[in-house]
Amino acid sequence: MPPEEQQERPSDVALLVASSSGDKAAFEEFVDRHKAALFRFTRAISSTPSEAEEAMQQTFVSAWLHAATFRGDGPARSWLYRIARNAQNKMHRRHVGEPSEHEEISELGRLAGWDCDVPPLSDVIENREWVQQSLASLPTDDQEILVLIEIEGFSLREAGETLELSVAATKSRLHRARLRLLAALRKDQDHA
Amino acid sequence: MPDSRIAGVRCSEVLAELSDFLDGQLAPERTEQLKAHVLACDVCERFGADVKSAVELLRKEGAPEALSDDLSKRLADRLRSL
Repeated sequence: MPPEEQQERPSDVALLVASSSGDKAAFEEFVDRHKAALFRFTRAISSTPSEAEEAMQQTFVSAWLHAATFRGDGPARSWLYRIARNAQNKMHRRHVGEPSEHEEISELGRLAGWDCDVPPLSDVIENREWVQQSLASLPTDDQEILVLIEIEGFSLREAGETLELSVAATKSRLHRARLRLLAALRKDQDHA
Repeated sequence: MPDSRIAGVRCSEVLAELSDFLDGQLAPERTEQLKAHVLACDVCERFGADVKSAVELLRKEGAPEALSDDLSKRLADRLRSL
C-alpha cells in the first residue's frame, strides 16, 4: 500500500467511534479489515463450518450494536475476539476433555515424547490434514491460544487481553497448549 | 523423567521454561544458562527441537479454511439488514 494510503487509513478506534454514531460505511470497513482472520478463529474453535459462520455473524452484529462500549483501552481486535468467544460460548462450546492448568508439566512433557525413543518431528512429512486434526483434537482453550498467537500473530499481551488472562497466565497456557499439541501430533503421527 | 543437572540447570527447569526460552522471553543470563544446558543435553536438545517443529508446523499448516466469497456475501447481507 502506498505510504499516502497508509496515512489515510483510519484506525480501528476511529472506525468504531464512527460506527457507534451509526456510520455503516465505517463499520463495513472495520468488518472487511477483520472478517477473514476472525473467521479463521471461529472456525478453529467451532465444531462445524456452519457454527463458525454463525459465531462470526453474531460477533459482527454484536460489535455493531455495542460499538459504543469499546473504550479504546486495548486493541480493538482483542475486544472483537472477546465478543467472538462469548458468541461461541453461548452457542456451543466443544469440550474435548477439560484442560487442567494444574496438570504437571512433567506429565505433559512425557505425553509429548520427552525422553522417548522417537524420530524427530522434523523428519515427519508435513501433512496439512494431520496438523489440522491434531489442533482440532485439543481442548478449546488450547485451540484458542494457539490460533491467536501462532496463526494470527497476537502478542502475548494482546492474547491475554482477549482471553482475559495476565501475561504470566497467558505464557503458561501457551506452553501447556504447545506441549499438548506436540502430544497430539505424536499420537497421530502414523496418519501423517 | 530424567532430571540431569547440566551447566547448573536441571532438565525439569528446561522443560518448564522451554516456551519462554524458544520465544526469547527469558532474561539474558537465564537464556545463556538454558542454552548451555541444551547444547550439552541430548534429551533437552531433541525435545526443544520437537516443540519448535510443532509450532512451525502449526504456523505453516494450521490455519483453518479461509472465508469464502459466499460466506462473505452472507455476512454482508446479514449486516445490511441491521
